[in-house]
Amino acid sequence: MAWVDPDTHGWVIHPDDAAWGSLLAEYGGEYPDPLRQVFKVVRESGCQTVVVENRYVDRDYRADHQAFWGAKFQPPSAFARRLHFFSAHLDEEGVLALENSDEYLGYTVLRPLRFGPVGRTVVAPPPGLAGARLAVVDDEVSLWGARLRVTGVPFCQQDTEFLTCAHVTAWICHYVAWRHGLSGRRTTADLVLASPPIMSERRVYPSPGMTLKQLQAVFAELGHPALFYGLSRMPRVEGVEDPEPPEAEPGVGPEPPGLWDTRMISVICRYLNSGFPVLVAGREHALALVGWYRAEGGIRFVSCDDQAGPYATIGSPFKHGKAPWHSIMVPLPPRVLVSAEAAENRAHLALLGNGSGADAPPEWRTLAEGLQNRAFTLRTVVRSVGDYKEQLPAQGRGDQAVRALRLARLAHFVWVVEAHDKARLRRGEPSVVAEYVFDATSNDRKPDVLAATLPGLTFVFPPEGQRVTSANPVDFWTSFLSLPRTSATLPTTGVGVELESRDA
Amino acid sequence: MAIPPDDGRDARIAALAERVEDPDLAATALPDEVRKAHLSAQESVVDARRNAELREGQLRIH
Repeated sequence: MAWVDPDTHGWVIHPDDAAWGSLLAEYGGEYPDPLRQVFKVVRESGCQTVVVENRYVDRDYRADHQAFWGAKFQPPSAFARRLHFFSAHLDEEGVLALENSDEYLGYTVLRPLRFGPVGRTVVAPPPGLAGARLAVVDDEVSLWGARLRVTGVPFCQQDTEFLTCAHVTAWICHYVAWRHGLSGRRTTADLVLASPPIMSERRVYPSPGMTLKQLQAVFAELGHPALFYGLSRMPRVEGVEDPEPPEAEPGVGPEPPGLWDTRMISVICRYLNSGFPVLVAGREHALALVGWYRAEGGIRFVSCDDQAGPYATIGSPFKHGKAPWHSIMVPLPPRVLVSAEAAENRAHLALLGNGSGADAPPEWRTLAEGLQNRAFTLRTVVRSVGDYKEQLPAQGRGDQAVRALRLARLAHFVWVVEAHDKARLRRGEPSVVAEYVFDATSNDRKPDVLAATLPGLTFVFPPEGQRVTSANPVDFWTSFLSLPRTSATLPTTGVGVELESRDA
Repeated sequence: MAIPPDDGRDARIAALAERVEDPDLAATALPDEVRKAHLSAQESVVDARRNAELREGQLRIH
């Protein structure tokens, strides 16, 4: 069948092992690993039906085509196909009769490109990652009039000419930001065209890749400039172990920090816990980290790597195929000026100090001692004030404290540092005993305290107002991180300023 | 009904609140070496943002 049959709306497949292999052979192109991973993920979720949407006009691919592919002597078709995956056995009538998304596992757009066919993709996480902390979004598509929703992490493959790993990784970060209502929708082509050629000695396309400076310029243009961490200069955080670099062998230079600096793990997890994907750059390659989980006593990362597909797991960043990683970039809302590490250091200092005064309540002393002997640990996330307040009642905190915090005037984004009892945390019990809330628009040197809860008392420090003190039961409460996500913003249209498209 | 502001009658809570709001004030109860360690850590945060090596920004990824 030709790639585009103008008289066919699509077709339904109920694939067995052989049919999955045929689909991979038909659509995988020269680099089939990403599509193989997509199929693996949906099969683990029990996929029984694949709907092929024919002659699909994909916004991203069409923009790529206009900017680049259409200028070729033999251009590929401007149409894509889109595969939809369902956990139920459906025929065409069943799809038309769908009333909800209960059995929908997501979709993948397929471009007629030999070296990178997998376009915009959102599929539900596989059951094996049920315990992982993932930077998911709620996505919505329309198939033949059925409005379908899927919660998952976005993915896209590079095409080796127009889109590189840097572009698609930046796009993954952008798509998450857009689905959370933090920016307008931009296409993959927008990202390429926003890459400033003046910052490179090479032409923009066929793309030779990007420097991190160019990536930063793209992130800024998208409206979410990235915090940059160089592995050669990682921040120190009190309460987090500072690793010693291994001794250099004679005649050999020191080992790069990407092979031993464990601080990168806590840095990455703070932003993943906040719901933001993290871009890491290793040996000439960039990938998005989209989640983490614990296994065998260690942290494992979940990636969307355009060479490996969605939900690829990484056992150790020090042994990853692209190790040593050298840089971390975290695109954030521009009003988040304070870094996670600044907030955590400040909270650590405050909690130690509060528990050390002559008149400190005994529970505060216990907390301070627990931080020093590592029985307690801090967890730090950035949240919108709406999310923060929405989840307060579900945490099991005192009513007075919840009321005081909900009525508090807080910045639009706040850094929340929670103090956890590690033993309770490990057992999955409510484990938070104290919390500091910082103004994310303040200064890294000394972030401003907006509210704090210590055993027995909650304080709110309103700007230009009188302090509010409320009783808070001396008990453990549930972390934000253990609660279901709040209802994510799902914009129906882009709300930002679109880039002007340029001709190829 | 708004929550009434703390009227300061409980001087002990008021003193605690001052320290809770100002971590530097709270830190005066800490030994010098603990305060210095925190100061150094916080400087490393600012330093990491300001002085991450440019070499890393020049590396090309594709």
